Amino acid sequence: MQKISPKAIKVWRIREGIGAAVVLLLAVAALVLTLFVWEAFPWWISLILFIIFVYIAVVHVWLLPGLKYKYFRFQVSTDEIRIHKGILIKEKHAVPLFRVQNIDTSVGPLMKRYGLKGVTLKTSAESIHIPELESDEADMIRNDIRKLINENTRRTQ
Amino acid sequence: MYSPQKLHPIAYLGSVVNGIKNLWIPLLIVLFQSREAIFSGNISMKYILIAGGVLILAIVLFGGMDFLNKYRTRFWIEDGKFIYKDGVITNREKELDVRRIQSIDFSEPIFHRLFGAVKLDITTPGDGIKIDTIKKSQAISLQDILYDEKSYIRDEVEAGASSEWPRVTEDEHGTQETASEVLYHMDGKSLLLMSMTSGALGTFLALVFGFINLIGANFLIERYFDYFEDAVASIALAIGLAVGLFIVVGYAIGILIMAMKYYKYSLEMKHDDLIVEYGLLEKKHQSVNINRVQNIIVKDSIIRRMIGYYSLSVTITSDSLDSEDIDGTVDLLPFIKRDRLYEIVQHIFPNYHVEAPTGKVPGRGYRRYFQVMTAILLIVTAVVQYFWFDYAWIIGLVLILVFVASGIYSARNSGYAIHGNEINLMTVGFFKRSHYVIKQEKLIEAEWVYNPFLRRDDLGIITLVTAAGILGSRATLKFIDQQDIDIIWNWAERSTSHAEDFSEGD
Repeated sequence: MQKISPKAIKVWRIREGIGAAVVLLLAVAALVLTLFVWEAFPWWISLILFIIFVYIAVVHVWLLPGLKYKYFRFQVSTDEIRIHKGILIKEKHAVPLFRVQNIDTSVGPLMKRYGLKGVTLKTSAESIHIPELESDEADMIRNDIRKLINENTRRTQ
Repeated sequence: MYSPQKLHPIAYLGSVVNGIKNLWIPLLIVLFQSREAIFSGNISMKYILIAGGVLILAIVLFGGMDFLNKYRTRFWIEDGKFIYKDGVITNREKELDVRRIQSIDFSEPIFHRLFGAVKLDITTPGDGIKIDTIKKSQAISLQDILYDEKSYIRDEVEAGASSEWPRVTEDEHGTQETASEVLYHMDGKSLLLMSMTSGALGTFLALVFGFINLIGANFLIERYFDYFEDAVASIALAIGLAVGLFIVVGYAIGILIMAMKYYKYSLEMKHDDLIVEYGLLEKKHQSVNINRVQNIIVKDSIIRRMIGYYSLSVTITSDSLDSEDIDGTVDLLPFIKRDRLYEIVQHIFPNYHVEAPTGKVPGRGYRRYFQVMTAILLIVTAVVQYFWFDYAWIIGLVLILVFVASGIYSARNSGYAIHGNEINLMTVGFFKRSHYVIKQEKLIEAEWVYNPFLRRDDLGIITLVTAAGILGSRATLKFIDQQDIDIIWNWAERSTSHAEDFSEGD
């Protein structure tokens, strides 16, 4: 079983961190609004926003990325793709390769900076996402799968 | 059909109706706002003229595009392709490969039937085409030609036909040249029985409450109860009578609705296509290509199981958002005796082995089927009992018993059976069983889920996904033994028999 790039932890942390920062900003804005601008604006809104910020900071920034990385595994074998994930509730997915219809890669600005790429496999009903792989590894996997599918298709014609 | 065809002229009326339909909410608001002016009695001619003018302008604006679009719509068959063209400013052209067409449906709503028009719905595994209002004669000849083309093309050598994804069992039936064969025709007795055992009351209730909600007439219900309270002395008796009468009438009307919907149900087989026809007021006509079938589902509910009637449906895949049923399930036989159903399945799908599996859930998994629901009910009941209603515990107890019974029923019946490259899965919802028959090569994904508690008890949840509509059809077996999961998992893993094939090629 393969693991994704360890840089993923950092990327996830930054991504969630940005979200948390936005919430914190909103909380501060709400606080300023209550204190100085508009007295009628309820004070507890900023408190709720602050609690949300703490939750995101603790759970999504601090705890989850490491665990998510630790428990995510995938394997591309000759005929299928397997994915194991889940921290408490474990999920195991197996998708036969010959049912894969298209393979997309995705890169966000953050991922690009760290040289990462995500791969999404689409079958006619489900889509399977492998997040944050090293760029060249992602391309390799995509090419491998494409090759496997092509060979497979040609064989059975 | 080989030359460009136009829509039925009545389609233009349809676009006017559509224009009004899009406008009716703003219209209502305007009418409501100006109610005083209207009810005051002295509306000037000018007012009517302006109002009428604005209305006509709006209809032309909203309906006009549609109108032009319909005027410019053309469709025809060419070179084994079905071509559909429309568009006012931007021209759109859609081509469907006739070979890939997996179902041709048409329905005739009552409005369309008056003018001999139909709605046509063509689906392929990818996109689909939906044509509103074409002549019935056109639709029928189109269907015939498409079937002919399909059977004709199938005999040819397909050069580079790499696009046929569900390409298995392609030539099993191809040679049958029997014109068409009626497999099943529902008689009056079955129709009545079916309507009685389906959620007839539910249909009626949904209709009534939907209607009441729509016109906002809650007072009707109050008046209804008031009437009974006036007529009968005892209030309890009055309410009982009112509810009883409502249920009986609702049930009867529900039966009538169902009977009208499935009136003259018949299943036909033509070459590789199954054709379903039914309906009294709105006639439906659906067809499914056998080779495109992804899995077979045999469903029953506890009541129907007692009298020995089952239903058969199959799923096909489509990415088309236009289609009415996105879940991709097509009902082939809504209500049929068990033995007859198996006979027909055997006839249509000789390569499938359909056999109802026996229960496989171990004793320690039983409680998990109802524990969450029971806990929720307990909490809700406790809260309601404490704050609002003294007899809530009676209702709560009854509900809990029902859900426990349902859970045990589910646990007893859930199971699986594997025959070579084929799996029979029995999944159970609320007293409703669904029996999935899945070929290994149609499998898209296997999914196995567990949490620490399940792990400790050596249990797991497994889901097999096959293509159907956009979402896929998921068959889930819950809380079965780890060993059974391993068996199913390995069966799913073994999938592609071509695996060894290409590894040696490398």
